[in-house]
Amino acid sequence: MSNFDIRSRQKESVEILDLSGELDAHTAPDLEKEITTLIDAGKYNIIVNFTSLEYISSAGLGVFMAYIEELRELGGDIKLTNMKEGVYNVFDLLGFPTLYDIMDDEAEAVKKFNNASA
Amino acid sequence: MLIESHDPEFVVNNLLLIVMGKLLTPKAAIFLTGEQSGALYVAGSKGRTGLKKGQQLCSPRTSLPFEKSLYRLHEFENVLPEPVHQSGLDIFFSIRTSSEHLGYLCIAPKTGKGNYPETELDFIENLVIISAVALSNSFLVSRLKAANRELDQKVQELNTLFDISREFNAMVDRSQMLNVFRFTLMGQMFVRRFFFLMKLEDRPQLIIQQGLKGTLGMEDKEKLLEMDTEYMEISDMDDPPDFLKDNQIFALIRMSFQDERAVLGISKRANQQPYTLSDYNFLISLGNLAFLSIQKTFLLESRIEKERMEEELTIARTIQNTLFPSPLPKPKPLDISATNVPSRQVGGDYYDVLCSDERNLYLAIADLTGKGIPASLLMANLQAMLHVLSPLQLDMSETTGKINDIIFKNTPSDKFISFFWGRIDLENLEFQYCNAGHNPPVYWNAKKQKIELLSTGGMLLGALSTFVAYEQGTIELGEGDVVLMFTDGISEAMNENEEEFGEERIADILASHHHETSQQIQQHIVDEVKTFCKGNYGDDMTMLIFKVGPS
Repeated sequence: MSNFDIRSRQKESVEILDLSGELDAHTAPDLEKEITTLIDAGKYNIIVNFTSLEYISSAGLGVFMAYIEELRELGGDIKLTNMKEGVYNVFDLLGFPTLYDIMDDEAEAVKKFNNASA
Repeated sequence: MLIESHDPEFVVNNLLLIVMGKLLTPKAAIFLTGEQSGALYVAGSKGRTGLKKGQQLCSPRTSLPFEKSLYRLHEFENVLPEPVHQSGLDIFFSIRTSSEHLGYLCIAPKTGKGNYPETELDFIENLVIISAVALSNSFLVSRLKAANRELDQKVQELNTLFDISREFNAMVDRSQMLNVFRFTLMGQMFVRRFFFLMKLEDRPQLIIQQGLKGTLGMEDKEKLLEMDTEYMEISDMDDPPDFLKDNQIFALIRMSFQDERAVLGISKRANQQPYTLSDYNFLISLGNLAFLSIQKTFLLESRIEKERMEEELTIARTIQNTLFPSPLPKPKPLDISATNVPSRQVGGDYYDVLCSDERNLYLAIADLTGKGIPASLLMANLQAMLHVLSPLQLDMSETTGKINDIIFKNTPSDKFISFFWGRIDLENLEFQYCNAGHNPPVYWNAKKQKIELLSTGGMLLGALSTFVAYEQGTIELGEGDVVLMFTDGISEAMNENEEEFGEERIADILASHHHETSQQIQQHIVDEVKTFCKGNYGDDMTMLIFKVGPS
């Protein structure tokens, strides 16, 4: 029924999750599983690339809320990049830009991670 | 350019710069009436006016003059506060449109103490008129933008409720449901710490705890569930529990469904934004939705459980029915009748009549502890033993002892069988019986014209291994004799005063109807019991009667 997919890849010291399809109450647990897997593996620098994500619901946003504090305490972060306008609007409406690094471009986010660790 | 801009900030800034540049004014400021506050504030200030941008100048109720296009500072005495009088600003142009009073453009005297020539003042007046339109437009645009954003937020809230209710409807797994609720709450409300309190099996429990430390005492939980408003902030609470204070829980939301209550506790939002009335309304809707869905899973579970039990009872009933003899043997000279009136639950009553050969007839009645499938399996066990043992024509007391040992070995210690059985020699009408803890059957002795009870035997089957031999009773039956065997469903049937039907009533009915057929006697008992307890019997009613006819 749902068309949601996550692929993970690595770029330098950063883990990148490419989301596609629709992230809603139904698919949010999949993303949660992916993020906890990364945390358990000791990978705390995470970029979520939204290029192919068409839709996000509040439950989808909730997953990011659930782990940001823990990741930052561990010295990492989740940076969000390449959002379509409709997806960004949801983040904006719910007040996320004050708390999260939301960037236009993935390369920019990788650079920021590298600068921070340098 | 001023007219086209929809940014008030830009208009204010440019107006100030144009005026100062054109007129060589050292200080200028713009005061505007706040969109929300309704009070005059400093929207922009250039030069050393001593005024700060954003500073409020008077209360919203202060009435300000706008009739003239131009005022001097002294006309604002007692209207505007001291800092304005100290600012060096002297000439105030009303910024107004035909329908709105927006504020003032204020300028200090010209550098070099010269007065402004009329033409310059006229120029400013015209500029202010144009700017007023631009400002008014830009305010309108920003109001529109704010309204749009609010609308978008509402739409988002509705989408969220729609999304989550659709998801909940498709779910029966509680933990999955709680997860979705958790994410939705975090995503929509931007809150990281919260709990969800509801009663599970009558005990209040925190079914969700997100980011919280410590525990909430049972009494505190009960107290929270009794909150009497739809939502409240902890600061309004008398003596809030430490758990709430320590975890910086900010507000409580109450959910209710029929008589059930639940409470959602939430911390402040991660971005420090306050909760608005609309947020609380959303939280109440979201909470109730989750609460209903969780309740639904419990109802579903209990329905499944009920269906499972009913199915089990049907199976048990089927087993039981196959164990009763059908049809009843009709050996001469006996007239035999039997009945089993099942209660709503399947009980453990059993009776049997077997002709092991031409000469010997066995009759048995038993009541097993327990209900349902376990009872019916034990019954099948007992039935099998009787059917195997009866053709062997063994000694009644010894056989009863053996049956007891097998039952004792095969059943848990809390399972017993009260059991009565007897063997009739159809040629000489000798009746040997053994009563293992069963209600004594009632015997109408036709010769003596009196009732006797058949209690010779021993203890219940299955309680202990046989260390004292069962005794057996022997009766020489004669024409007109009746033996009535029954289970406690009859003798212990209760009326509304909680009195039992009792064995005496059974004996009395037999004594007054002994001359009728076994079928008729049986019907009298059933009718009397039903009248006695008004159809409200809780246990199976089982009876086995035989009457000795003419040989």
